Amino acid sequence: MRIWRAPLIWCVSLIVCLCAGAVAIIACGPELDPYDYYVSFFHNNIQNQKEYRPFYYTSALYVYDETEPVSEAEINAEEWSAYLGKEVSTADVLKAMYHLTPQADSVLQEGYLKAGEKLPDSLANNSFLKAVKRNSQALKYYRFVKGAEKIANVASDYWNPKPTDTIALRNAGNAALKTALLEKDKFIQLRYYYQAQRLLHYGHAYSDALKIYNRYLALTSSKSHVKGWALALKAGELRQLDDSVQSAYLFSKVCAQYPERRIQAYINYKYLQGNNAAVLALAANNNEKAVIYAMDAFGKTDNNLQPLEKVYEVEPASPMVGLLLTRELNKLEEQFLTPYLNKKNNVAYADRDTKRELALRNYMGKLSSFCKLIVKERKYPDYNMGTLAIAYIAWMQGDNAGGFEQLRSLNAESLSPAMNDQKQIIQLLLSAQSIQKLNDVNEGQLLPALKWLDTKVKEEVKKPKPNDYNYYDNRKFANTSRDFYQQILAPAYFRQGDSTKAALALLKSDADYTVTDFWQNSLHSIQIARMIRWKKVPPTVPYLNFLTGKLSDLKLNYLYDLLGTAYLREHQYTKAIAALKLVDPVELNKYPEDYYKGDPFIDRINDYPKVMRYGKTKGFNKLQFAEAMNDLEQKIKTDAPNSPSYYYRYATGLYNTSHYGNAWYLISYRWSSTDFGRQYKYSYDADYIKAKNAEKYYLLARSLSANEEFKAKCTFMAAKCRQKQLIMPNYGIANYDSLEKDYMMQLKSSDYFDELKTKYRKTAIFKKAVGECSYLKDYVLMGGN
Amino acid sequence: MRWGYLFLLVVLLAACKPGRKVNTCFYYWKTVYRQNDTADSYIKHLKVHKLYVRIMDIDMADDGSEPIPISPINFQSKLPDSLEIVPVVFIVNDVLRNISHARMDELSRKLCVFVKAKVEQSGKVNFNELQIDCDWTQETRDNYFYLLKRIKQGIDNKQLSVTLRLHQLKNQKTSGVPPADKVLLMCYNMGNLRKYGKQNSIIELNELKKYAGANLGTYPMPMDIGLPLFGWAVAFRDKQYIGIDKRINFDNLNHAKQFASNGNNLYTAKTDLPAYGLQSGDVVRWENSDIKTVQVAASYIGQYLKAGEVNMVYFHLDGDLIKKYKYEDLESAADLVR
Repeated sequence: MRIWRAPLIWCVSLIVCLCAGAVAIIACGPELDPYDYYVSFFHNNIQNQKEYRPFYYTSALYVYDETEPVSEAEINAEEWSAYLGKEVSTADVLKAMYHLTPQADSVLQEGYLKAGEKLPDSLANNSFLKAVKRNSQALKYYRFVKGAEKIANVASDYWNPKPTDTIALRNAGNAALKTALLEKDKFIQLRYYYQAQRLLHYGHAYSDALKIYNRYLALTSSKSHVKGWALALKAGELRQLDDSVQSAYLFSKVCAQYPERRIQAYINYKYLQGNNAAVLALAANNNEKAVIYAMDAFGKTDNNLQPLEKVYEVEPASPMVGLLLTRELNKLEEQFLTPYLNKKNNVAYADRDTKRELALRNYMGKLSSFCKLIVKERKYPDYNMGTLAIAYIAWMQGDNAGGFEQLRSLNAESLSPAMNDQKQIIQLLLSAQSIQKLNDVNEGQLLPALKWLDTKVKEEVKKPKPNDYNYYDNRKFANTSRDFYQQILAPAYFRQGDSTKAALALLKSDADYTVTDFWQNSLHSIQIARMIRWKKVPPTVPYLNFLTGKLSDLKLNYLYDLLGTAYLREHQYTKAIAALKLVDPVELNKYPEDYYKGDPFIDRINDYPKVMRYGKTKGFNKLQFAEAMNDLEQKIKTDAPNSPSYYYRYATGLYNTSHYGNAWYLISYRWSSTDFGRQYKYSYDADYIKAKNAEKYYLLARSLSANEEFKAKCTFMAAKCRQKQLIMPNYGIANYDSLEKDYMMQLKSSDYFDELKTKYRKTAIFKKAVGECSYLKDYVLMGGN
Repeated sequence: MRWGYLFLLVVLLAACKPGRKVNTCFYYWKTVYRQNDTADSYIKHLKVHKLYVRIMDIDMADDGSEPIPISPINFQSKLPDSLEIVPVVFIVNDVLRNISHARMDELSRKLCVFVKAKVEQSGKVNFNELQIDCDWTQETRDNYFYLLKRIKQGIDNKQLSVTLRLHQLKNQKTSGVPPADKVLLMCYNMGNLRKYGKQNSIIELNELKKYAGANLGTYPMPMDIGLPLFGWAVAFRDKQYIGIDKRINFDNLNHAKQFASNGNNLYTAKTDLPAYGLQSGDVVRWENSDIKTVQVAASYIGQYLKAGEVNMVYFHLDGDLIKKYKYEDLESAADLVR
């Protein structure tokens, strides 16, 4: 009947939209974690080069850490504290100079700085302010800079229409210069010169500012960091005056020598990127050349040995060597290791670019050779980093013997604790990789290393402290452990067909989603039952005892629910009842909520719109379903004459636990529209996706009945089941259009449709089905072929 | 006989076109406003009473977080009393691509506050008209029109004018008609700048005719006219556009040792010229706003424009630029529109 066509088309379109929507949702995942978006076993902080942390490798951020490695405020406070004497604490200087509340600041300005009398209450005991009061030159300087703050320390606001008060700034700069020239105290005089340069700079008088640096600041012998800040200003002035080469060179010097301005100098240097050869030509010594080579390499994601080679050539002891080497290894992890493991572990949508892989393998060879040089020559103090790198590369390349050999050579060396830790990690990786097939013996051999890894994880910070922005990067061992279990050990067990140990390894990895997915979809009842036994009585075999340790995190309710569901999937209903009875009823009924629980014995021509229940009846939970199915099985045996109707009901129960039914939650923990008509994936797909068993029982019901209407009904329901065995082509694959066309044709043609048309044409059910099922109608209208 | 007089009267009346009042004005498009004697003399001779002053561009911040003012003008001198200011804000089309209404509300609010403050910095207490300059597209049309409505509210319903490019004049269906009080038709930058060839992309009558014609008179809004007085050097390498070379002026092109003339307006660099950023073999097309062309364009426009008052705004007021033009030439252009 035509009136059903529109709603059906609407339904089908809705399904299509849901599918498309699901694809979009799956494609749009959570935001990338810039510190943990690829598999990494080579820690980037082995040498603990905290001062170069901003240049650790990540392709997802401009700099790895946006905070300057050292605080400029603390450096300045220390200098003042040292100048004013023992009784002045750095903390007090910091507070008075950098951390005043607006109220305290205004009172200070009014009372103290103007009349020179009373300090505000909150600062009455501030040793810095008290000392400054006694030192007339320092007081004068302090008053001057506080006054200049109003025009110089102005927050950048694009939408503030007031232009910079360049006139006031220049006046203030010139005043500072005048005072500096007359100032006898060298500490204070240096700061006046700096302020002069700074205020003129802010007032856009770049040439004048530059002159001040060149004439007064360049030649002073002071070791104060103020010189560095003045140098940074000079670099900026040169940039404004279009001398980009000289500017870049000076920024490289600031970056190298003044960690409190490192990121600022780096950003400016990168902005000026242009004539590297010209900048290099300005380098006064090898140290400076090394810094320039390294800075050019920072921020780049390509695999390039040249910067590392160049740095080593000019300054083999430079800290940049280790920094760049680690970056290259991390890049290889991101670009080679992670895709390689994804492909090996059959991760969905894993892409393998064999050409790129080969290029990276070649590159690894070159990097290895270079590292051999580092080790041989011993010019780089931490030359053992070279050995670690070679061993790690050997592991990535699958060369276990080579890797072990490298690690053995480290036995004679004295390693730092962090390097030793890295050595242990590589050792574990090589050991795991050398095992062809895991068994009791080699598992036991792995155990000490795994226990060691556990200890390292426990030592790491668990909960983030307030304002600890580095928390998310301080879980290196936790990530190593997670990646080892998830990417290396669990897949190895899976490949051997040992799902139990794979599940346990995943559980140890703490990788939430993957663990849950595997446990809920890939374990059979025997395996789950074993897990429950081990949870209750931990195994005595040391390795197994270790691996099952995390079972204590899983609640028994959860495990019995898993077990019960597994039995349901396996159609072992009495066992399912026994297991599900051990689940707390509140927990058992929690999911789904009552409004979403279905009556799985409702049979329908169309699956959509969904009918969960009729009238005031309640939906079924897993236990109730198991009992009902068990009941049917008994009745089939004891009440043979009525067995057709029991088989029919049994089949309907099975059908409704499929993806297309109203009680899919009985055997599945998730429902995704992308599962519609998909390929086999899980062991219970015969019911969940293919409705094969339901089909079998519908046919069985039909074969036992003599009633034409009933037989017609069974035939139609069997046709529904058979339809679910067609595989819907994935949008976006190569010949999607023609495959989709074929699929649509197949939907309209079915042996069962033949039978319905020939044998059951006169039945009421046939007439109803033709009206409600558009595929059947199309089949009939097309002339049945 | 009476019929004869009547006939003559009708003919005479028909012969009289309704007159237009044409005001000569200028755009000021530099980031620093300074008093300049040459500019002042042109203002005086041409009886200029209005200056369309670029206040700022609006473009996305480098981090893409929000639209911000770019290179806002700095008034080092105040505007003379005799000149009325029309603040102009140029909005980069990209800003309007993926922007919410809430964001546009915020933008219009900030823009109005900023313009008001800048106008005060220019020495004026207030302004009567604000002009928005944006080369909007079909994609950004709805957002742009929404923004204009908010801006209109933000300036307490003062006059709001918008620039109109020739393609928007012609394709009103896809471009839409912006919700403003009037438009200023930019009769320049009409050709294909980036295409290699001897065309003058700044102003060419044939190009103008493709878009204008009757559209000039039928556009559903009062229309002012913008005409060019500028020139530039367009550089090509291997016949590929590489940019507008701001370091070159016309005189440079006549250095026989550096450039060879290809006839017309094309010049080839004879050697590498690093001072101009050119390599040997690069071709420079010199485009300018020849006064004769400007006058012909003005005359053409005058045939179609509606009656009434029209501002003829020259782009742009730069002492070095306009001193090449005679007062009377610029005056006659205005006459041709009257």
